[in-house]
Amino acid sequence: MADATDLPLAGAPPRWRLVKVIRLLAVPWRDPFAAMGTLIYATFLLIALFADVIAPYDPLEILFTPDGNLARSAPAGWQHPLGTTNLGRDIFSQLVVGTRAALVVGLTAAVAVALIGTLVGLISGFIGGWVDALLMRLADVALGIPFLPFVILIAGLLGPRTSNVIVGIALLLWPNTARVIRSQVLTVRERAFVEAARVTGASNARILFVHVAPNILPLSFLYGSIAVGWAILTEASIAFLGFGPSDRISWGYMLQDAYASQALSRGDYNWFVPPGLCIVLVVVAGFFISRGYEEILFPKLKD
Amino acid sequence: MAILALEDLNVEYDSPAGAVRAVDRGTFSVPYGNVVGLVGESGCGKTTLARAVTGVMAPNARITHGHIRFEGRDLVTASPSERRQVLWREIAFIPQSAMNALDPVYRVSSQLREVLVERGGYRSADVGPRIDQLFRMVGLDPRRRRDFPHQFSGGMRQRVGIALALALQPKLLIADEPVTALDVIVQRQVLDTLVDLQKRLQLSLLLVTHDISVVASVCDRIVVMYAGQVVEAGSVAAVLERPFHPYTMGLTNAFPDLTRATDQLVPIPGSPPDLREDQVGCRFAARCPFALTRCRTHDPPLETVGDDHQASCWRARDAEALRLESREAQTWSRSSA
Amino acid sequence: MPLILTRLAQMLFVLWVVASLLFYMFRLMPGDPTVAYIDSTFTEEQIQELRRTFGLDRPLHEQYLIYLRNLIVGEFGDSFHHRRPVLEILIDVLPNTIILTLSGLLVAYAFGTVVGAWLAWKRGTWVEALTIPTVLTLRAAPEFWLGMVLLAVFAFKLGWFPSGGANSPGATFPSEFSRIISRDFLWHLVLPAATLALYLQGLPLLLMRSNMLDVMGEDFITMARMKGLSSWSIIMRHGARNALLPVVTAFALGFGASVGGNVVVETVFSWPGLGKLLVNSIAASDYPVAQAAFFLITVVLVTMNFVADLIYSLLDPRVSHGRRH
Repeated sequence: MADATDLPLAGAPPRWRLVKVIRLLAVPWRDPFAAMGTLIYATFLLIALFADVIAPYDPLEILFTPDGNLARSAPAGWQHPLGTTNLGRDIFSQLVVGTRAALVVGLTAAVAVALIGTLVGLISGFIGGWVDALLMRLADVALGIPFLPFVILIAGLLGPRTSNVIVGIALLLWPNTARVIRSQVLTVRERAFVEAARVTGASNARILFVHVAPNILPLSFLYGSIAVGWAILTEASIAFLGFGPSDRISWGYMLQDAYASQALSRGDYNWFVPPGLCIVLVVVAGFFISRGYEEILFPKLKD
Repeated sequence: MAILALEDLNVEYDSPAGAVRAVDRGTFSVPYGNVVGLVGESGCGKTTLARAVTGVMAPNARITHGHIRFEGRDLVTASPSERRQVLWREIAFIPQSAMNALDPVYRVSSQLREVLVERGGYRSADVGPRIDQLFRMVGLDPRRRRDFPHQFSGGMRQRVGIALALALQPKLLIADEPVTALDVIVQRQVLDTLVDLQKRLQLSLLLVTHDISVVASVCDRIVVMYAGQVVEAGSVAAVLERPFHPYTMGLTNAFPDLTRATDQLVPIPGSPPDLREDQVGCRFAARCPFALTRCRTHDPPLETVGDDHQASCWRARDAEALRLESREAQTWSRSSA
Repeated sequence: MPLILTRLAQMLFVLWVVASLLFYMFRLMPGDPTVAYIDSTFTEEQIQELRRTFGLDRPLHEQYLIYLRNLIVGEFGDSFHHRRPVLEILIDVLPNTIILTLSGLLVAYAFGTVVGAWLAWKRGTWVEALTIPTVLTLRAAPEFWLGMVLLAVFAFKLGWFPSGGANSPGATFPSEFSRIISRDFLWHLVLPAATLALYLQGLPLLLMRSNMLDVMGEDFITMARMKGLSSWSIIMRHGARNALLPVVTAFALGFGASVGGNVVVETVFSWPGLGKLLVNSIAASDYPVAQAAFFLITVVLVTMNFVADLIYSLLDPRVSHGRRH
């Protein structure tokens, strides 16, 4: 399997390296699925940014029909594109605003995972010795803790804040990234240009950040993009279980609301199907994008 | 008289650049009980040709022309079930690396049993003695039959490969570089075992190799391939003592003969042509120190140049003089490669 | 085999760290160490009993050692909510979770393995181009949402299956065993297990397909063809057997991960299992149960990880039979 170090990044002058990194980011366009994924992401990003403008109503506002009655469980129609909840809230508005929670949690958690994983992998692989042993033991522990139950525990004991959910996710998802980065660092460390840098008297820090890191970054992006999907799914699960922030509309919250309000038995498909579909779309977009990256970084031999 | 006769065989690969003809008009024969060495450098098409005879080729390879006559029957036009009848029972294959050719999760005895039962008509309970016999034939301790492939050393694995090939008492063995991956000393031992078995069991052996010293010591006949074509064929004595094709002359020079006091190794400069491009004229012309204008425009056919000796060269008539010249190092540095 | 011992040591180390973590979270953080085990509704007698069992008057390091010892013997105190020993409650719900997880996984893996191998066969065709994105999409769907949809359609709309629980309300059984094999139980099991299976099948499917593609390109497969072996022999005996090994390992790993991940499915279907117990106990601040449930889930996860390593080393002759020349 070709590895990311085949990318001729290190050893080149700094400006050139930046260009190559940028070009790497634009790479998914070649794969139709990755391109589609990027498009979906971009759409949701725009929706999240302009949610206030796009949503016709306040998501938590209880609405009334023109003749003064509660607009409960209205079916999809002109006034309400996806109908209303059993308490008269506009579903479409909730869906639109919920995009924010999903993307905020997803991207923040993914960045945190990529950051922690990369740092740990870099330090572990580069310094070695007892530091490496310690960090890898820590990784073992993190991998031995059940994921969802732990996040539930954190949210349940420390409070149902979004930040707690992100912390919980980051604390347990970094090991895989760290391990991959670490093994890559171990490979790169032996490479000729690193030896050359050492001989010319470059400090460890300089070698680490100027020569080793650029070869690692593509992997960080890859694992970060994989983490986004899991983070969004986790956030939805936490919210569904009732451990998410109650003042914040998210897709998971909508599903919990629907479930608790017997939307299933009433057959209010317009309420509980769209949020799930949105989650599927965003997560699958993430899968496609990361598969596109994976093809570039680890191309399988074509038959 | 010949157990195997190839006539005008073309084998092509599908590639992104279009169809590549890896074997062009391949023609030679293997007489009964002979050891025929198929020689050439990497990429000359010898492995492709060898595998074409078995009928099991890479997924994108096809026979597009010619005949493979095995005991008179044409395997190219035969149906898949007819070919399957012949496989392993009459034509067996010894791969280059038995490590990869043996399934790592099954014991060696299981793999032998599989062949004996599924293709040899044995009953599962009766294979024991035969397996022991095969082990002893190839020089392995039968007590190791229940070991897994990775528990054997390289040389021993090749012996297992030979045992597998001999399981159904085939008439023709095709060995693709059977000892190349081994240490020099082990090479000798395994090769000796193989040749010894060939003599005792009166098998015919097509030995594919790039090592001309192996051919010289072990083979009755030699077939030289270059860039997908057969450029010279004949008895080993004739071809190596009196080569007619400049490539063969170069090969025999590059081989250090311990019996002669040659103090120079004369390698052939340059590299084979890229077969993805259309070939015009003799394929060796670019590297040949004796090339004429005719050589670059017309591809010489394979013609008889002596008793049981064929070569494809426009200058076959001048062979004797060219041979002397080819022994000099500066002849080769003059070539246009 | 020293490697197995290393893994065992690792496993015990992780369990010890998690136990200590729980000790910290439940006893030290709230400030008052008794909060974890004593509820204001307990009688004075019960409170004294618990104080003794957990050494709540002793110095901290002694409490810690007592805590660890209690953990090993299964002494978790009494549930605030249910007024019973926590261990009893765990034992009640454990079979439900195990059976649910096992049935979901078995269906998922049986299906995924077969279809995955078949897809490898269909490489480069439109079948593959259509199936892979479908599988990926299913993996992108939240487990609980799949459950909700199944529930809405098959339980509420069509009425084919019950809408929750593991047994019909009021149903009684002479023994735990007869309860588990009763038709009533199986009828309740179908939808949650189907949800699990639907969600989990993606992994074995993609894994098996990938492995088969790798294996079918190996030299020993080419040799099998040269030997003239039947397609069945080649694909099943040689291809699948080699490709299956990582899938078996994944199954063990999947079991460990699912027991914790089942939380949401158990909630959707009100399935009285370990996950639902954890969620309910945290919501109700029933700390003894929450601690114990979390720890038990961790034990299962860590044990299954270890079992996966064990399976791999046993099934791969290259590992189990070592190397010798």
